[in-house]
Amino acid sequence: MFDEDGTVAAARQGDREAFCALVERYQEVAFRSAYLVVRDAAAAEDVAQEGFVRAYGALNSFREGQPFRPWLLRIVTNLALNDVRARGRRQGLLARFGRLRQDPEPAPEGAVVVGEQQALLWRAINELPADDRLILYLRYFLELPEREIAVAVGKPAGTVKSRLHRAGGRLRTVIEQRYPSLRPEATRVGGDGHA
Amino acid sequence: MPETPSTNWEEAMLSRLADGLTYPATPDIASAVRRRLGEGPGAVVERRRAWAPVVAGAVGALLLAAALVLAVSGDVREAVAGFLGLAVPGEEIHLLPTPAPGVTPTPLPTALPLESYATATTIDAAARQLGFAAVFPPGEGPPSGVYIVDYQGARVLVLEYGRFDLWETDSVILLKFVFSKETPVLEQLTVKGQPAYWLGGGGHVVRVAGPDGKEVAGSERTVTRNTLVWHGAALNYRLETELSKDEAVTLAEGLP
Repeated sequence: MFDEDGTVAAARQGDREAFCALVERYQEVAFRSAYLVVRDAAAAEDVAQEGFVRAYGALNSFREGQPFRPWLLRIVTNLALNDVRARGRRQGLLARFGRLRQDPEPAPEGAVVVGEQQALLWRAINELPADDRLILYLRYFLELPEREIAVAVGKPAGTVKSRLHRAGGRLRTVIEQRYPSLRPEATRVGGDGHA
Repeated sequence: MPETPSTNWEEAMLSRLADGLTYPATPDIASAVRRRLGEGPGAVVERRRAWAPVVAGAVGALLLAAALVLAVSGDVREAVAGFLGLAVPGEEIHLLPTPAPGVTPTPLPTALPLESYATATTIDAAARQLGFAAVFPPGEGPPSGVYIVDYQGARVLVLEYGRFDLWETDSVILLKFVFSKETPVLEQLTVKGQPAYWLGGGGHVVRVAGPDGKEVAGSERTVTRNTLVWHGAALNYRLETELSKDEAVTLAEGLP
């Protein structure tokens, strides 16, 4: 059983190995959160690494007894968002990102449809404001509970719930207005191959 | 899975997309972090690519791109080749390879006077315009000139003194490229225990980019003096100066 509180406490006392134990435990979620935002593995590695170093330097501001993961993710995702803003590269990378998705065992005909739908959905997501995208990533991709999302985005839990609802609504609007083929009824028709 | 079941089709769609997403293998970040922590506060990211800057804060933050340009071959200006570090958040310095023998470097653009791109003002007026409290170096007396440079809404205060200009802002991010045919003086040091850069040995160019990463039109300017860059407690500083490195650091140490 990993003693997170004890490990964090030791790290706050300057125990670098204790902090590195936290890095080992959370490097995957840090890397993936960064990857979702920056859409580039090398960039995500840089961001995550920098995020851990920043976190180490900011341990004094960490509230003991609180979960470490969302606190870390707040640092990492802020760095990742800044990285994206700096490079202004979201549009180009999204198309590439949309092609990363591979359906496990799609039907031969369906594979194309599914792949296209995924690419369209990534485009729709990318048209959302950055804050909306981030909260959707935290919830649906990293599967954080709302209480951890609240820490990660620095908002009250109640605000997170409403922001999730709002982000979902915006995604729905984008899909309906710009990617209507993604709507469930359209997908069902297309999926039958008789559109 | 999320803690509550999806009730809307867009949520179900997101869940399916997430379930099928294949992430790249997680790299060994712990080893790199362990090495960096062992190197002290000046250690820089062990990067796989030139890294973007770190945010300094406020709404409408800009990216202030600092390019150190000694002499550049025109055909290599855009080909950043080497990264020197990120000791100061947001400061990114790159070097280009030495131009091939016989290649004529592109000279720096002519340095323009402060008045050509900054708006002269007074201390009192600046205090009203800025979103932060200006900081004055102790023992220097009043500045000979006070200017504000506005980069798409993000304001930078410039205090002009005899042997230096002190740039202050609470919202600008510094980064950028270094183009060089010879090794400039680029030194990582500390100001009040925090990482800083001393850029000496030649002129450099400062550029400003907006949040979209694109350069703000007309923002490029040539700086011929040495420069010390660091982050203070609340402000980001840039000291363009004729002072020696030690004198500059001493001055910087006197600021909050």
